[in-house]
Amino acid sequence: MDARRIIFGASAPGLRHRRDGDPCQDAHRWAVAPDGAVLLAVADGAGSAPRGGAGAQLAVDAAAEAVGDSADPAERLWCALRAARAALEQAAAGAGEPLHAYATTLLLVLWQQGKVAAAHVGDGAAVAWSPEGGWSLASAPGDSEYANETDFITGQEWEEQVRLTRLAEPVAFVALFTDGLQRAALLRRPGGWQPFPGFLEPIRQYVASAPSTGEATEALQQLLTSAKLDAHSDDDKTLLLLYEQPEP
Amino acid sequence: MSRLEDMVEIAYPQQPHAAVVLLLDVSGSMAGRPLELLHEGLNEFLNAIRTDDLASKRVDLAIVTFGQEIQVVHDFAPVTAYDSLQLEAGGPTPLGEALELSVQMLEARKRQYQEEGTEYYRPWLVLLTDGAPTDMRPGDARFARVAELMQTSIANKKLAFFPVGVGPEADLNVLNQLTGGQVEALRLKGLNFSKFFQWLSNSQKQLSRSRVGDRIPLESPRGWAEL
Repeated sequence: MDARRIIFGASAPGLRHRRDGDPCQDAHRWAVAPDGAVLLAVADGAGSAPRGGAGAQLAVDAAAEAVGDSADPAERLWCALRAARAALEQAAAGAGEPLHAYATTLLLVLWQQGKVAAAHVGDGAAVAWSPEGGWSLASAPGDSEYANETDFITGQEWEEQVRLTRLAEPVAFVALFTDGLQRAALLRRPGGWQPFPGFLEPIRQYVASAPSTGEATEALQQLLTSAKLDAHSDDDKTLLLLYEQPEP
Repeated sequence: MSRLEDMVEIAYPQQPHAAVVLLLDVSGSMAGRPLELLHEGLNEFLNAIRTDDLASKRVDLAIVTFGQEIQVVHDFAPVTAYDSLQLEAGGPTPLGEALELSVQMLEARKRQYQEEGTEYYRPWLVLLTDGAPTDMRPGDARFARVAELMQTSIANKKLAFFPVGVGPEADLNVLNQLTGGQVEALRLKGLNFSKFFQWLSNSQKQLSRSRVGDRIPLESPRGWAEL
């Protein structure tokens, strides 16, 4: 028997983009590989880059399509990152534009039967939950002292800025999100970032009992454009979730 | 069924902060018309930030003056906490000590943000001066110390420094030596404080709106600076 697995996500433009009629510059995508592994991707296109939104979409599409079949999660993630970078280089060259016009962050999580590995350039974060271990951080936001500065996969030294992490224990739930939700869903502690259950736990519980992915996606979309989150941050917001229900 | 919105709590409901120190020369030579215009410009600045949705929540402003003494006229606070300000002119131009104090204030404010878990933008130090420093000169020990402080602060992205000279007596050369040329000091056109503060409030509004990774394109200072 296969366990019940649901994957769904939403990207919503922040208040300012909605007000100005601008598109969302976040993107998300996932893909299931032939061997059952899942690649989850979220990206936050830089507001200062003229094609940041297009860059985010290109990056998650190319990464998802390059999910590969290697047994080594790090090799798979690198392969997906390189595919994303190559797609951005190609788009920029094709349009005769500089690469940084497509500046975007990129966060990838590879899920293999509960085992989680992440590759990450820039901010945003991934968190995980298991019945035994509770909440843990799967990938932290990139280290930047200031609220408006981060790294991009279009940067010159992007390979040095890639952070690879792997969780030792299997998990039942993973959530990836962009910077627009960072101050809602994470706590900053002297030792580093921690998941904030006050935000994450209601979402996890909702997902565990969600009647359908369609309805759950709708609920997520509503949350991301709700008055509470609009008042909190006017950034674009993305949340991508994977939940595997234990077999009865 | 209750909505997700009603169930989730926000870890950090507070806004990210943009600390700004306005460091204002109120030495004797600023008395009269220059000080009047500085006042007007400053009040226009406070109004512009106050009436802006985001900037009013994010800009964390302190005002320091230097002249007869170095005075923290107003410690860090949102502009909504400011009443109209009364500045008095008189005395020399103790710029060295005033810069040291301003950098210390910004560093202490950042430590406080860190302890509270408040996110913050790179802070701004905005200097308006109409003369040359009287408490240091190029070549002496204090000048070397202050120059070292300013240069490492700028190079290590501890702060963004905006030195502005007012009037023909302002010594831009000394200001440029202080920063080792990392930042070019600009001279205000006449006494156009109003245009300068308009630029500053627009810049702070833009900063408050900037998203992660943005290097904000500031408006050209052409409106107020002699270029």
